[in-house]
Amino acid sequence: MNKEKMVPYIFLLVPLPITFFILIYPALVSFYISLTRYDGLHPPRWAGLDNYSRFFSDPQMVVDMVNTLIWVALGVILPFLVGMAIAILADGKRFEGLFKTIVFLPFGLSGVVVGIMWIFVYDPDNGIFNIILRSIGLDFLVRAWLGEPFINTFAMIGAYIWINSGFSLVITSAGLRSIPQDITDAAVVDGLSGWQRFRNVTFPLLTPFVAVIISMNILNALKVFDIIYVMTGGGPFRSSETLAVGVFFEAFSVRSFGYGSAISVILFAIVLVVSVLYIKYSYKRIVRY
Amino acid sequence: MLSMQKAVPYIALVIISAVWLLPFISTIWMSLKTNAELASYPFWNPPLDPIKSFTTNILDAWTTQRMTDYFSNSLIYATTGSVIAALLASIGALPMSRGKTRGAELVFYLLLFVTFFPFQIYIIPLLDMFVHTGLHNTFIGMEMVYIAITIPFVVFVMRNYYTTIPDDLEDAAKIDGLSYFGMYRKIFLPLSLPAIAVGVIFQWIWIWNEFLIGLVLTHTTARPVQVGLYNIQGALTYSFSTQATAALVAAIPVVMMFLIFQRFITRGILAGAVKG
Repeated sequence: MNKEKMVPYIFLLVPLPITFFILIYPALVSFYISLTRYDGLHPPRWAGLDNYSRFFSDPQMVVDMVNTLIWVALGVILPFLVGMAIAILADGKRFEGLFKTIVFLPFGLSGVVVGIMWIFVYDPDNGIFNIILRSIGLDFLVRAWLGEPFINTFAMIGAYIWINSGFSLVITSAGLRSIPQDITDAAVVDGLSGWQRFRNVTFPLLTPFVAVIISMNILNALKVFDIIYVMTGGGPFRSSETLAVGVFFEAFSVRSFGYGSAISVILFAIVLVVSVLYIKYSYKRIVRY
Repeated sequence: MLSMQKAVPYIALVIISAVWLLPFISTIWMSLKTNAELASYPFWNPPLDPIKSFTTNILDAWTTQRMTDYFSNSLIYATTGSVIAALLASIGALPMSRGKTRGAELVFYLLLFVTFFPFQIYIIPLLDMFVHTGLHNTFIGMEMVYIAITIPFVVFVMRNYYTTIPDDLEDAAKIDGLSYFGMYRKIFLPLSLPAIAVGVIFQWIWIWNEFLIGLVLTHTTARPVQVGLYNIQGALTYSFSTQATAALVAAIPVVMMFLIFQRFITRGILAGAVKG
């Protein structure tokens, strides 16, 4: 092989070393650490599958799993519906761009900034959420939204909808633009009502875009960390903790690296299954077009 | 009646926009008051001395809470990190797009696969590694992690962009006697500047917003802005209004980017954005 033919391979190798040392190698080490007892100070001691069997008998992990499921179920469907509804509502209207920009803007904010803003929104005394409830006579609903177990997860999902609807909005808008005008015109000529047009013409044509939104939303909802960590820290009493936050708690608060790694491996396995389905689907989509 | 029907969507859109702006407005409102004022007056009471309170809050955040340092840290991380990652990715993505290099497809899918990793899977060993190699709480260490995490996404964007460049150009370059590197530098790099811009803008925002990595891999000096912002919460003299003001200022670069580069950002999202 002559020198010039080698060059593309050198190009190919350029981004690899750093990816390997920072991401792939540590990920592999996580699998190993998950099979040990390790606090980061003393050398790891082999523990076999102890950490995994502990996971399946740990009542806290039931809480983490349930919360993760709530996050995935609501964190996937609600931002999707809200974003799509706004995209369709704003489509072709005056000031369309302005409305969309306003809804899209929170998507660019960090989890910490959003968390802080929403801690203020939910503040028991000075938060606008309780102020609004009081002013419309719903005083009985007023509470410390982030302080009550179970309710705090739903309160945080409210903030999550505020952030992530913008994603669904952008993708749906692109989808709407991809629908040829004559198809919508034909539907109007055929005398279909607004809802019928959406149900039978628009929505079916949006399916590939919907698939992207749903799968990305699942992956993102599984990994939510910043918002929970900032808004409740997983508390009170670890009641709002998800798997992603649980890894952090076990590893860095309890300093049980082995157990933390085991939880991270389980989270990784779940993400992996979803990702494979996603790649498979989007690959098919590319082929179909 | 017809005009009523036309008005309904607008009314809905205005209400939605108001709801969406409310968290921003309440945070801005808080930043115009002092902490004592927030505690002793009703929330909707107009700020007593907005300009003075705002300045006090800014000064508090920027001096006592050391936000200046964290702000400039993140400016450096985001700017150098996104540019270096885009450069490395634009080189690596070229053979992946031309279909003539064996194994290139495999490397592409490997990198694509890595974008799906949750941080939790590598953060524990990474901390261990960094503590033992002295990279913990260093600029170089943080920069390395940011570059590594952002590379796969830019590779994805670049490769997709390169595939839209016709093979004819590559053949013409060969006939003109350009080497592979010459072809990259003289043809593909200049042609793909819009894609590089998408990558840089996207990853700049991503690094600026990053929290978890900074939380684990730094203390004090190398801290990024988001961790500094979070830590105000645990400060000895915690002040709502200081944190509100700091959060607003930390959001400004990203909001500006979003408003200026909205088209690029939308394109990046459509190219398959992976957040977190």
